[in-house]
Amino acid sequence: MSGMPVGIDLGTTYSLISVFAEAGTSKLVPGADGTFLTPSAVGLSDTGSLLVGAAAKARQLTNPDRTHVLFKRHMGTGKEFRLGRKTYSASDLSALVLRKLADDFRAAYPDTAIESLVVSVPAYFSSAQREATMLAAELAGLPRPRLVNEPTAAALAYGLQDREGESTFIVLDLGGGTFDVSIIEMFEGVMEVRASSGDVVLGGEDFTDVIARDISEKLLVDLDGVGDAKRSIIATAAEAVKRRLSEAATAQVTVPLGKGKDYSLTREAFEALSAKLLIALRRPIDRCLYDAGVSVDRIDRVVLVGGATRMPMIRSLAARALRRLPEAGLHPDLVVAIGASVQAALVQRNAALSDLTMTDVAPFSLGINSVVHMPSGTIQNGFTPIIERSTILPASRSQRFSTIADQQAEIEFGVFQGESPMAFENARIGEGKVRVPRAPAGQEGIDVRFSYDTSGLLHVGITVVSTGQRSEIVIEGGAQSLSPEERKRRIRALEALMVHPRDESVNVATLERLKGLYSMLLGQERESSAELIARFEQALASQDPRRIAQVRDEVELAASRMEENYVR
Amino acid sequence: MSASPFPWNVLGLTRNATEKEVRRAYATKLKLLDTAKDPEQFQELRGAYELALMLAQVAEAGNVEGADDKGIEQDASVSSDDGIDDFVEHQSRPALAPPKQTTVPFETMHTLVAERNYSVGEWQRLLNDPLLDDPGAGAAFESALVSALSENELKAESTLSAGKAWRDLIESRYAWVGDGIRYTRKFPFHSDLRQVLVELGRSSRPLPYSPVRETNQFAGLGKVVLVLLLLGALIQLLNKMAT
Repeated sequence: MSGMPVGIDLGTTYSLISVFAEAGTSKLVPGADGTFLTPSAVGLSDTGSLLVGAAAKARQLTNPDRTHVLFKRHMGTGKEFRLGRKTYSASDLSALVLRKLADDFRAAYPDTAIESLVVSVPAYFSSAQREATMLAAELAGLPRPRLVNEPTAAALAYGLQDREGESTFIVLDLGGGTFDVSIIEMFEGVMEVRASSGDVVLGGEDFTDVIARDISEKLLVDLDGVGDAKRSIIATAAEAVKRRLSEAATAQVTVPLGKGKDYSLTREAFEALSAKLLIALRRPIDRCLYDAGVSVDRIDRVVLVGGATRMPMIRSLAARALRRLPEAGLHPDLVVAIGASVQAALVQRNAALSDLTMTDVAPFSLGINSVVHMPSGTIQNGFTPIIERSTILPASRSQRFSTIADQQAEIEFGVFQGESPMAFENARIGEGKVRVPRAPAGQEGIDVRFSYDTSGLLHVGITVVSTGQRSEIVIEGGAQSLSPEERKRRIRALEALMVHPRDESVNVATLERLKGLYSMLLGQERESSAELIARFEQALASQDPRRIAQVRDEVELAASRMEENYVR
Repeated sequence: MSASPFPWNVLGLTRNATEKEVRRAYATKLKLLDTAKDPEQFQELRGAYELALMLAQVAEAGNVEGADDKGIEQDASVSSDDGIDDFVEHQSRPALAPPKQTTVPFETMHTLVAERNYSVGEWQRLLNDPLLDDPGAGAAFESALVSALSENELKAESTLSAGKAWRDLIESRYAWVGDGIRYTRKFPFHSDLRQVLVELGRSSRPLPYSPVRETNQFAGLGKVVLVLLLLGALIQLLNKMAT
């Protein structure tokens, strides 16, 4: 069995898998339905088995209470997702998506092992979120991955095309749920990320939400009061309007509430509704330029990544803020996955890439709380960064702290991540406690060493200066915080879950898509969609794989046409 | 390696290497290194590269005739008070266009502040004004806004009559609270404004850039008993040179 470098883009709305092939180029791996984009969705089928990907996503409209999407937004938190009688963490659900992608890989490359695996994460993901992503890969039974920041992966895909070149470029990555900005300098085959900044709760879904709120306001529906079913109908209509407005100046839909209510939106009105989001997009751009110490005039290329950058208002914001027309030479939805497999090949030290190397930075400052003495006074609960943001990775820094009270027997501190000088205003991600020999204040001390690896994972070590005694801190919520038994138990539990067979999932997806269409349409069109459902169910009943495949293609085509006509 | 002193010996260069030579030497050495497996060697290479690059740039700018050991010390003292990051920033700070203080958004802002008008709608329009897209004007606007807010109501009442929605809008644009380290460096004489914004945001949901759930943030703070010994990154570098 030979090994292959594999990259996975584990996205908020869609996930993709790609390989770095022998020929020295990246290739995307299609799913059983022939498409590259696997919706990041997990749901429960009517028979009680789990659906992953397109089949689950298609059921979101008809079974919103038994479908989960956007769980990436809750990575590294304690949030639980209920499906039937079981509950799942965001890592569990992500593991199911990863396993589906790995199945696609095995179908396309039988007898091939994954030799080096890279999973992409938002540059602005915290240590806990990164740990949760690593855990998801482990739970999926995959080899321990390395992580790459999404905008960096995108830059790698672009940089590969022009590796001799010398240029500075900025990547704006607006995905379904996150926004990342990175500035990258390329010289002599070195891709050096200068700075990264972002917002982990700002993405394309927020723009959809703005339209959904407007629909419910105009049509006098209380979005928070209506049930899941109606809410997902409104969300689906909003999504369709958003997509339409990327191509046309106006969009009109009939929302299937009651006898059907008409709604229309213009591009200008959409932009006005999104004013708050546009303001929030500017901050990471400003900050990235500031951190990189690069003026706008020195930016040679503006690269847009992520499906949400198709929105004209995003393109014009980028052009105005960076005074350069953005380019989109590579497909904005696919480029991160392509870059992830390039990184996997770099990790593997693939011969085809010996002339290319990449370095990344810490996206935020990491440190501990302490009493900070400054010329102007003392801050009692100050934040002392040990690794400052934009520090190039891997980095390992140590600082010495000493006791402040006589006869102090213990030093206790929190590990924080953030940019506020006050510790409690930053996010607390772990804590350390260590015993020291009793002595007068200031005599005993500890060295706190922060090591930040190339995946963006933090390791914290403490050494008591006088005794040389060492200890380690575990970051909360991550793979490290699980005991080996607990980990094994969770892997086994996930393995035991009954997931719908890969080939059948394609049929479920088609059927659910038709049902979803039925719920969105009214009158004549609704009847047409009912006919499609009947035809497809008849084909399924025949149990003849060739006939099923043929009818499936036909009804999918018809469904696509009806979907296109839904928004005008 | 050759008889050159640090940092050039690490890069295999002589002491009067040009910027281009430094970059090329770094690129060559970096490609031979597995940074994930050998972080310490990477740190040494990186430290040498940054210093050599800085010295080459300074030498090429004509400030130093032949970068000698004395040159290193002089450069170190420039940056020692605010660290390497600031030095880099200072060195390549964009040449800002002269701020156009008289343009419309500045006047609108001063009027709104004077009238104590914190209507989110009006401020949204203002912050999205295309005239502020120019980076120079945008930076000048942020400074003008900090001064205006500090000078006016804040000075008289020690607080702002703004609501949380306005505060969250300003925060989403400038992150004066969330990115307090930058704020403090940029506006060292306006810490009171930041404090007021912290208070205004007390009841707020977790800020967008601190995604980690807020687990008992205040636990254990009473026992926190540490004194900080500040060692800037460059000072560490100098120590290394001394050994």
